[in-house]
Amino acid sequence: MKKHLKPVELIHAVEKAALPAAAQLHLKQCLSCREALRDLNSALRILKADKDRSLPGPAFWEGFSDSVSHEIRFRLARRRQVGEPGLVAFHRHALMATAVLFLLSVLLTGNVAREATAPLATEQPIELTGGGGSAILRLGGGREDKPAFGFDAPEAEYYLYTDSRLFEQIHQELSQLTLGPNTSNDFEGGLTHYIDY
Amino acid sequence: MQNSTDHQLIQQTLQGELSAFDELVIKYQRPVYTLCLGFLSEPEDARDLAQEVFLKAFEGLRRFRGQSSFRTWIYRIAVNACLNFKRNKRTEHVELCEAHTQMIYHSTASLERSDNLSHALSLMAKLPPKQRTVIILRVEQGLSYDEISEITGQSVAAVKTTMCYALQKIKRMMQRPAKAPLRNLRHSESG
Repeated sequence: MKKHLKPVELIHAVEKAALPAAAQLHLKQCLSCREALRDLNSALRILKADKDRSLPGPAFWEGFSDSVSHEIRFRLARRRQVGEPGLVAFHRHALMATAVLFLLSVLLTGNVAREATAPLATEQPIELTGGGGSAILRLGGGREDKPAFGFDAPEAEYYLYTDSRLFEQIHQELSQLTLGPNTSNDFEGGLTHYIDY
Repeated sequence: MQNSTDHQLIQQTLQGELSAFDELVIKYQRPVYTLCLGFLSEPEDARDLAQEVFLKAFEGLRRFRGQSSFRTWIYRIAVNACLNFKRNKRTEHVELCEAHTQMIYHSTASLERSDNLSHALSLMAKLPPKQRTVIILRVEQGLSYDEISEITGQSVAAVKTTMCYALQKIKRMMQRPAKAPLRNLRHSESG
């Protein structure tokens, strides 16, 4: 007599797929395999019975797709502001990044009271990545880098790495920047996030 | 646009017609959401993650080569997102509790405490990720074994075997508290 049905064969039987003749014959003769098949069918019935559990109504789905649609357009708009390759690059975020780079370079070259235990150690304190207005701002500090803030758009990631004292000073300076309603708010959000970090 | 195929909608999206991607979202929002719900059990988490899946799909649309269908592609994104979400949540919890045993206790208890959780969902929640994935894709989403194989990267035979073990485990859980031992299906003696 054939050995018991393998899991794959049992699933074929559950799915009412064609079984080889030997497997069919075995199934007819083997109580154990028939029980196994019954168990699988029973489990499947429970799962299927619950399959059509109540789903949210039309308003949910409308809100769902609207939300995705809105987020996509928002991200694209923000990316355009930052400057995509092929698009006019000099946008508000680019201006902001330039201003911030200037500000930070001033801060890093002596106007900041530095902690002796946490010197500003990075060789390249400020790095500009691709994408026009993108910037990764690194302000060393003698400790492990901590990403403080990042936009979702990959080419608009701003990271601040610093110690809290220097950070607060930068925060004060940046919060006074007037680059436009959105840009200054973006930085405010990022910096606040860092404080909460 | 309603009659457009997924391929056409993708091409239109890539040409800048965002409304074409809206169509794809509308077409697939239910399966993606229910897939996430099957994994996460919490409707709010499922909604947020399902939306994130579409955003990821949009961001990665240029990398979609059309070798598989859009359906299996977005399912693959969704499955990965769900598994990552679960993994991160678990890690987060371990960090909070600093005790692995507490984590296991918590995840089981939190699933059982929810009165709204359906019977099937609570059973599926106790399956290991691989078995859960196959059950959700096959039973809940009605995907073929070939499609599941494509999404999970397992062979079709492996998917079917996983399906079998998952159903056996479900059956065992249904029999609790009797806790009947799993019969060995591979024993070579005749029945």
